[in-house]
Amino acid sequence: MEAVKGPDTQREEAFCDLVGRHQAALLRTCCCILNDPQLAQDAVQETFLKAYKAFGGFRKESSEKTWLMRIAVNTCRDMKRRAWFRLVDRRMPLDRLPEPSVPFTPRDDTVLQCISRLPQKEREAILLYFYQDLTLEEAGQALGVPRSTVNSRLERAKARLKKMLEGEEQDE
Amino acid sequence: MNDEEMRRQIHHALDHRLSGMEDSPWLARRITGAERKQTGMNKKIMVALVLCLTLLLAFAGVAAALNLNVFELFSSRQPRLQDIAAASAVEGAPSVTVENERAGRSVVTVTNAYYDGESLLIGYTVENEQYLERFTPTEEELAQMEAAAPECAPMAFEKGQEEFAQALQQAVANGTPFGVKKIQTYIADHTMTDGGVDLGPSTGLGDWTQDGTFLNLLDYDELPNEVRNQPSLTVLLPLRQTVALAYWDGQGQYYFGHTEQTRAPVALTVRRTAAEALRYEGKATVDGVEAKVEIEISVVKARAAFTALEEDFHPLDAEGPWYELRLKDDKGWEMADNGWTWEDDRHMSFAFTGNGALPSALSAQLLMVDGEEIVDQTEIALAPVP
Repeated sequence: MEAVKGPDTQREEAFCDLVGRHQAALLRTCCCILNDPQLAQDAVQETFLKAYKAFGGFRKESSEKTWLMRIAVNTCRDMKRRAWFRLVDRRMPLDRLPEPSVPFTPRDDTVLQCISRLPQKEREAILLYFYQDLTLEEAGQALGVPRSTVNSRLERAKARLKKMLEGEEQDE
Repeated sequence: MNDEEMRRQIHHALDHRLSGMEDSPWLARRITGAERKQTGMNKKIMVALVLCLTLLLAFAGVAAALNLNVFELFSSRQPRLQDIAAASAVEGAPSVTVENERAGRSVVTVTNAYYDGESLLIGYTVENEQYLERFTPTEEELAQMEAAAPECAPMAFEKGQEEFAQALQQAVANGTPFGVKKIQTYIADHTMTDGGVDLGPSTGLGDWTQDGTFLNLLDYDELPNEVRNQPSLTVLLPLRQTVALAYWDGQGQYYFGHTEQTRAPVALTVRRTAAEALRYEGKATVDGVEAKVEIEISVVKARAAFTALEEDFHPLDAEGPWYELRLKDDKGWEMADNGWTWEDDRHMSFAFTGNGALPSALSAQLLMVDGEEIVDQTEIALAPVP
């Protein structure tokens, strides 16, 4: 006879599934928002802790990923507001990144560096839309701004990124 | 580089270059374990559940009234709607009635429609938008339902549904079963013309009257070329009715997604108004380069086109500031920014929500913005174009 699972066990299992599904992509997203792999680990842990505490507040009005990204973006913003962070170099420190477990190309380094040079709000928009694959509507919910604002930030970010990548291509 | 290529390169860069950032297999367990030690979990979950279930959406609630005029009702939030409310009231108010054997009659009525050749706004109401009833699943139905996060009902309650929220709270406190069936009637995305053109996305405002009638304003983004400057537009608002089930069995919650039915669309023809549009033009020197700004403004929207008159204008610089345009009308009211488009090295365009009446004068400032800080600003003297 199968044991009946209590609500707390079900909740923990649901939470473990949530972490399993989103942890890796969230780590990479936070790393690009913060430009710091160590801080990204802290941000992801804090994000999941907040998510666990607020699991009850998730009412399926937005997708699970949108809800989680909203928490993550706010957590990263809080970390960036801390005064000492302003002293940190804002570019992605490629030499401090852990050794990749799969092969990468020099172009990957270029793309990462260019993303890290985007202004904060544009970087968030581009990561949510192009990497987390959220729609404009969902990215708006995650960032707490109207869809039109996401669209505007995304247009700017795309234009800047394109320009930077084209510039890098000429230099290469 | 198109969007798909950019998406591919970004995915590749993050998934390959950052692949060494390993996720911790113990993270979830660390968090749940730490939380369990800190709190008496079961009690906390119950409290969270009760709080969550009783969470009612804080809609302001507008007074119920006969002959609703959606534009007028929302004019306190967007003054421009006051200026077009009377002219845009739809004669005969096109409406569709949906009959459901459980929910009864729901009526969708278009109260306002405004089309000036460039912009389209539609206001509508839905009477009996949501119908709730108690529900106990059969064993077969329960088997098809999905277990939901245990401390929060997947079905949120709106204003006017307090009776159900309270009954559910009581059931949770007593550990007794309680189920709800919700039938909702709504206008879906993708408004089409009678010729099959999709009008694209819209933004808008929504609210409920005290008697539960839903009010909504649809403000369409830039219209497709095929439907601009037509003498009239006939559009079809897609109508759907969904059924959702939620059940608390005394210990956990179960949810059955949506069963959706497509109903006959709400069709309406809106004639182009004789609304005037004004044009303004101005020149300025921006960052040492001559530039021209052309603005077209109606009572509901404005669009500004910026053109650098020399080749060496390069506003794109990842390390430097960016440009934003501010528009103020003759009363000094700033117009709300509604999007920006970068076209090429010499052209940008800016969209705005109109302030209502056409301004007798307009002023513009081009701002250089670095993050949140304005680092420079250029006044642009604008003159009306006859």
